[in-house]
Amino acid sequence: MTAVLSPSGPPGPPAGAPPDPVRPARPRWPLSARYVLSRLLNAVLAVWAVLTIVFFAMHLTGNPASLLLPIDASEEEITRLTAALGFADPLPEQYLRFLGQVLTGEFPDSIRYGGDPVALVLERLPATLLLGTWGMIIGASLGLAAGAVAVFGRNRRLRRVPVSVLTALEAVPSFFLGIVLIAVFGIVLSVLPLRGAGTPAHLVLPALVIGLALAAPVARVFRTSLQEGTGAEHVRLAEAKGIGRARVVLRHIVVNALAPVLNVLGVQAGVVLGGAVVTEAVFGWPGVGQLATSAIDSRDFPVVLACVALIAIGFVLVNLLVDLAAAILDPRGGRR
Amino acid sequence: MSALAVTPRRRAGRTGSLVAGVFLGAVVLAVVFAGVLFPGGYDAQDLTRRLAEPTWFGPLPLGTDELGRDMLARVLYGGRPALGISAVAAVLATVLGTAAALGATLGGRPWDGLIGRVADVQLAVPTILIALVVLSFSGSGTIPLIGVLTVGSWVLTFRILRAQLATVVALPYIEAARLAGAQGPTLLRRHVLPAAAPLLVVALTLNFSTALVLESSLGYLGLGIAPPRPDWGQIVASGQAQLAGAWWISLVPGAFLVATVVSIQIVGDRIADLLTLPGSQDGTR
Repeated sequence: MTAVLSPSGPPGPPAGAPPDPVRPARPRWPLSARYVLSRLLNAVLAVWAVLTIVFFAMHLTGNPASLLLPIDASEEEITRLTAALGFADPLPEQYLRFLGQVLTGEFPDSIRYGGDPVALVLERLPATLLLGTWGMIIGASLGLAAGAVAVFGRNRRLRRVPVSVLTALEAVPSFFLGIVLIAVFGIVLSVLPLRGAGTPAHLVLPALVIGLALAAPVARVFRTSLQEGTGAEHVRLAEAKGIGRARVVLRHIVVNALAPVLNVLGVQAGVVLGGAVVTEAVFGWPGVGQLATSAIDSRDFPVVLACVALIAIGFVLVNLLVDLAAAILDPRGGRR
Repeated sequence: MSALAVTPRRRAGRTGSLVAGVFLGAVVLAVVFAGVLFPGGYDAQDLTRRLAEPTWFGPLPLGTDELGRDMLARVLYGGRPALGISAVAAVLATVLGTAAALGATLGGRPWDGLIGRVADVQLAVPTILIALVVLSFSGSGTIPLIGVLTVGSWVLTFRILRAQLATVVALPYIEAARLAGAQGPTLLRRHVLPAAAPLLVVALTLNFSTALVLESSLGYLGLGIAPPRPDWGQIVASGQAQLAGAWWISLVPGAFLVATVVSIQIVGDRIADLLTLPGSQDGTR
């Protein structure tokens, strides 16, 4: 505690007294190697678990061979295609082969396009990353602003309305929110393009749809942790010491309240990715989500698997980064 | 606990929740009796009345689509898969989540750890991904859809209930019941479950609304109920191309969906308030 407060506190101990033993001599690297390693291990385990779930989900639910062939295909034809695709092999063998495909990135060729599915996915990846990043930026800014206003707002209405509006919008499924935004900004006001990609104007609505889905939980968590902060003892102490209001709020309340927000962003990364699948469909955005949806339409399961594997890895990576960033912001977690 | 923290609570006073309840009841009744209201079915075409605008209170209140089909009939018939599949999935998810929470609470440490881990992993996989994989391999039908929606929503129930049960089991009256000789199923049925009952109602409504949103999103993506049977998400998707000329095909069914989702949440919150949840954030009614 002393270490935190002393820079802006009264001048150091009186001459002659021993130096404060609590104060660290130099700033330490905020993350212990052990923590980073355990998080990394966790991430690898999570990817493995996700891939295992995906594998068993698909093998418990059906045989794509029967979907690839016309409805009137004979039993014999189905059996032949099943064997050709490797679905007749024993399950453990298929499982190991699947893990191997993910590790080496060598999935079977795309049924529709004929090429390497990973190349197809990577080609679409930048568009999805662009959309997801802007969605996250919009969502985090809207959520942080609404959460801050909810605590520090001048009057009761200002404190309540923004969070309520975001929470109300949260109930609207993102595909419908997208369509309403298209109707308003694309058709009635005709200021933004209806669908497609290419210019920054194309990015506005889809990023807004993703951002709005993200903003409500961010706002609620930020509001809660700000409220906890305003009553905390270290804040009362800082105020009692005569530190300016702005500095107390920023340095002692807001920074501490950011760690839970980061955690929410990590948890909601799944919402962003899932939302990206839907949002890309609404706006015809040429990203990984659209590739996955159209691959399902054409029963192109190698492409579906490559998409899912990549999205899952991306999701786990985002969570890893969020965990590390949260540990830097709130060192208590890092020492555990 | 974090699951609870990010869960929205929709407060709508007495009047608001009454309106929501009445709306929800009306929608459910109209959807169930769609066959009586529209004996002609959802597919009756009449090319002489193509793309008629909604009259709201006259004949064809929600207008017609490009084939002259009555949109009100399509919305009501479309509510059958939407509400039916989501409701079944919500019940299954609640049962599964409750069983998991009971197993974790009463089964001792190893079970607690195992089930908690499974829930964590499940939470780490965006539901829509599981849906994409399963539906690409099995084709979309009622059963795979119910399975996907159930798998996608049991974790929230598990988390909420697990936290609640942990506090309940530690309460003195459970200890007293144990000392009085209650054990096993009796303890569970008479003493543990009643304390969790209000939370179960909330979990059920929450699952219902999340399942409905997911079901209609899948329907929008073309992974839900296959045409010609209508489904809310699918109707919204089919109207998107005509948004400029015939806005009602897409926007009216979508507004219906949103109103239903919000009503379910408001009704669930109201029930929770009436039962005065011990775990509710503000305690007061």
